[in-house]
Amino acid sequence: MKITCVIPCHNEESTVESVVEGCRKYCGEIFLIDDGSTDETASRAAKAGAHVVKHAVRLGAGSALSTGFEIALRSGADIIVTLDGDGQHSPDDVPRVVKPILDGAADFVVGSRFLENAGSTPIHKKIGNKLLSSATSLVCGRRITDSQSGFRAYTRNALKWVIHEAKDYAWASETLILAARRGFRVTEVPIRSIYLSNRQRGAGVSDGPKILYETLKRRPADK
Amino acid sequence: MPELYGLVASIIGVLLLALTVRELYRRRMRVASFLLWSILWVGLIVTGVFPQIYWVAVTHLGMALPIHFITTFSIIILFAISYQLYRTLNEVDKKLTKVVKQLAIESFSSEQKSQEEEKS
Repeated sequence: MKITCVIPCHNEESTVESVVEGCRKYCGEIFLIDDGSTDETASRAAKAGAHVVKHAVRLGAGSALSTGFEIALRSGADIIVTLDGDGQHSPDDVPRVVKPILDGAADFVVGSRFLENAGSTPIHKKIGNKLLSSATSLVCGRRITDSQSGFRAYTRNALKWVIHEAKDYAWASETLILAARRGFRVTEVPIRSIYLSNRQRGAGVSDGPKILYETLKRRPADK
Repeated sequence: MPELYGLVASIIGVLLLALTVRELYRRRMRVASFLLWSILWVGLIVTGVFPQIYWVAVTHLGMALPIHFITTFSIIILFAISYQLYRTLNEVDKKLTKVVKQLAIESFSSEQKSQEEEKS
């Protein structure tokens, strides 16, 4: 089975090389989506062995991922893994995230930072995530502990049906809702999360209300 | 005889109308937008020359002074223009996203194809 990694990135020159090198142990092909970076992200990722796809201007995490999904599907990937390029996710968790799919037990796997010890996750992210995950769970009709996690794995068949429209961080909830509506088997596995005190990336406090609105405006999944 | 402020308003209206016509002539403006803005400038010119028109509107609408009429409807018009600009920006944003993504995918695909051709 061809496992392909999609890593959306914006100005992550300090971490991208180690992330790509870590993923190469587990993925046959790595696509790094350079979302309008102004630093050395693209060149360092290419040097580490990733195929780099560049957006001419920054569009947002959601757009970078949907570009990556299109490319991965065109390349014939059977399993598509996504993770962040900022070093928050450990590539050594890729086997854990992919395992339920390889075992035939799931179509869509979410790596949850909250199934085991949440570790160094900042408090405002814990609270925000709890709220957004509760909203997503309500709309999906099933319990999701970490709806905002970018560390995921999809089967090819599932991914074709859950490609989101959101350009920004609302993509995370949107794909879960689409998966629930289409009846795909969604499961969560515990992953490690690494937060460096001098790097604050990902969705911020100001993104929360918008993500919440985008999530709640979708009607609950039919049971 | 119109008041000085009325004359100034009318002159400004004439200048803006001339600019708007020029934009249409240079095909930098759509007909619908031209008509909308022209109505505004013509309104400005006419009320500058005949400010007593305001009193007619004020009386019919139950307002006390012409300035109330001007202020209220200026704000309404500004909100309408803002909303239209928001809609236009939204459309442009969607198109830009589509173009950037398509360009990225096509550029990558042709790079891959060139590399494969070089290898073979």
